[in-house]
Amino acid sequence: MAQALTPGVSFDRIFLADNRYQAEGYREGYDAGIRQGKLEGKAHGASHGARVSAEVSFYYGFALTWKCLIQNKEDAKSKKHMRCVETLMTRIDDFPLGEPQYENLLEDMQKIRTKFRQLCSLMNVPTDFSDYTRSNSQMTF
Amino acid sequence: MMEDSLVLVERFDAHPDSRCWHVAWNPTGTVMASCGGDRAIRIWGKEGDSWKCLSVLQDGHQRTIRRVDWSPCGTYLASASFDATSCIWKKKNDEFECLTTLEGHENEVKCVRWAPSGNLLATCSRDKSVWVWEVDEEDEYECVTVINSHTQDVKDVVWHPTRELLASASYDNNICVYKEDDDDWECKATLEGHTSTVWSLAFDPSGQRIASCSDDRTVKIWACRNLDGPGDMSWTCVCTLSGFHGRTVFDVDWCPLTGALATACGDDGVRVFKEDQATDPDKPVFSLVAHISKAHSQDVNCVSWNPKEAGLLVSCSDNGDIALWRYKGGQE
Amino acid sequence: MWSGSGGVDDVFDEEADDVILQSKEWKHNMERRVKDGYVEGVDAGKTASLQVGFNLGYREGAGRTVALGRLKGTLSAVQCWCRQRPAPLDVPPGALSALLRRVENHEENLMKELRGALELPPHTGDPDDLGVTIDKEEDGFLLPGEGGGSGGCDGGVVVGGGGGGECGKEGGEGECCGEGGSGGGGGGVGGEGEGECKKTDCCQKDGGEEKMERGPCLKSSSSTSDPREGLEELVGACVALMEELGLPQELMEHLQALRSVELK
Repeated sequence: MAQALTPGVSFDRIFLADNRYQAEGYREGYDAGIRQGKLEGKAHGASHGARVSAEVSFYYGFALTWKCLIQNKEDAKSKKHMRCVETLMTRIDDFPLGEPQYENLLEDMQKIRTKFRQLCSLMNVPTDFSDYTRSNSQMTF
Repeated sequence: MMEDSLVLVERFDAHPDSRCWHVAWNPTGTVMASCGGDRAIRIWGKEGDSWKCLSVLQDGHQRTIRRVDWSPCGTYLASASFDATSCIWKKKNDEFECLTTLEGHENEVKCVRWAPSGNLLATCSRDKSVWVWEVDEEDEYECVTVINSHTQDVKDVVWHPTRELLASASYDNNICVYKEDDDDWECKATLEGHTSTVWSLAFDPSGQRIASCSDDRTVKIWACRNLDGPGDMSWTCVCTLSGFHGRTVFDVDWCPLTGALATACGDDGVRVFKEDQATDPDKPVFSLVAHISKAHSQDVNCVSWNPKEAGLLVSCSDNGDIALWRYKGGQE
Repeated sequence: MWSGSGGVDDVFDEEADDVILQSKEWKHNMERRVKDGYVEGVDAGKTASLQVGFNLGYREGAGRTVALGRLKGTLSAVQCWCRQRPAPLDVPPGALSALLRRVENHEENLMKELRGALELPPHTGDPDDLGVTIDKEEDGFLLPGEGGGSGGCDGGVVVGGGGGGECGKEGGEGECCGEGGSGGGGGGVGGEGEGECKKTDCCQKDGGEEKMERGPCLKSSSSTSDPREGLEELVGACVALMEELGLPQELMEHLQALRSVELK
């Protein structure tokens, strides 16, 4: 179509107009994209975050309760158990529940799970009593 | 050149219609325990000239029993099963009873071994973890640590013959060595070199070396110079035996009496290697000194030297057989 | 000549048509430009904001299950503890498991709500409303170690990567397979997980249908299922039961604190 126009109308002008319209669309689209992305991301994030937190919080509640139940016992065995309980609680305390981009998330999660299994073993609790510890239903993320 | 010989002493069907996964000598070398896909442990003793089944231990496990190990005192037997548990059996008169079941692993337990002291027990599993259990005076077992150093299925754990040091082998192709440090067990060295699953490990009698065997069809010898030093240990591969095995090498055992190294292979063969005495200990050379190419009609899963009778070797196979071999060194 | 003048007229008209045509084409082209720009902009905007949104949502989602998770953990521990006691307890044996069930239901419903939000059609409302999402294919959230990009739909992000099932020597009884089940949307879950998996499927389906009727926004869900209110009740019931069981005071204090627990 450039040939149809008089040579006086420069190609640049058309090109600039092209860009201007495109840029206009882009700006509008970008704003919409920001809104959409935020929404979508948020929904995904909420689902993930809720699952991770439900699992870790479960371990915490479990450990905390055993702590309350055994902390006044003086025998050597209970003291050993307390150590395991406390290690688990510390690991969870140190775990940033609200940060999906925490760099050691997977490793720390694994450590927490294993410590929980150890606690179950010490307390003579069958290891598959909770959904989280049944290996196949273990959440993925 | 092979001057030595490996002669069949006896062969018997130990786990009929099933796999025989492992066979273990008791500490005095008078009794063997075997286990397999039939979920049973069988105890074997010599009566007259031949080996007889003295006892069958059933109902301890719901799935394949992958491994058995005698306690250093010979009174207890530990078994590891694909049912995710380990059982401790205690000998009473001539019978064994299941004393306790160790639960905690997420899935298949692949190996269980007593520490030389008899106070600790190690287990490993497809769940990628290694667990160390402590035994108290009342025969109660408690997990003292869970170690997550591997990224895949852990196939084998083995204790150092004299120190409280533990090594494990994995489907992640690596070997890890652990020590207790400040009340917890930590991985102090990762031995990288195999290019496929490491199936089994054995310490040499002095505890300065580890032999490892792998799906990559090699056996590697690793040496450590600072076993006692503080901090991380440094293990280096000083020898690789390649070109000898036609398939996966499933097991390796270092004879505590003669220093001979036996291997069990997926090509149905049993082999014995010896270190050339003249070579530099930093660059040892091992030679194949005996080889039975069709030791069994299927995969050989395990080889084990008798701890008291030099040269007596037992092997077991996927076809359920156990075979006893007499190894005679040519130079001796 | 007539024809000549007519010819001139014709030429003139043709030129006029040409101009109109050109300006139409111009307009059309510019509209296409605007549209192209818009699409590009949406993509760029989404890329720029997905992670931000994900992080926001993650934190919010995590915050909503802390108290429930802990409550469930406490009840489970107490249940195990009771089972190990030689002497029977003063409370009816079913009370504990019934309460645990209630907590689990509550948690399930919450999860359903969150999952439901993922399955709904697009909705361009207030972005600060924890609502909707469109595109299951969407990727780009970064969780550490996942190596970039979740597979989109629920559970698509994989822990620790491949590690495919080792179906070799020890797989004799079909036991070693299925290790890789964590890959892709829970696809290859091995043997034992079968029942579990189906159950989840139904839940998702149920959740989806329910949500359709209720409408897209989580926060607009009716007050009967208000998570806070439900939690109040559950904590109250739990404290009452623990008191009946004569459990340490410290435990009650922890439970009471669940009413206002917040993320660090």
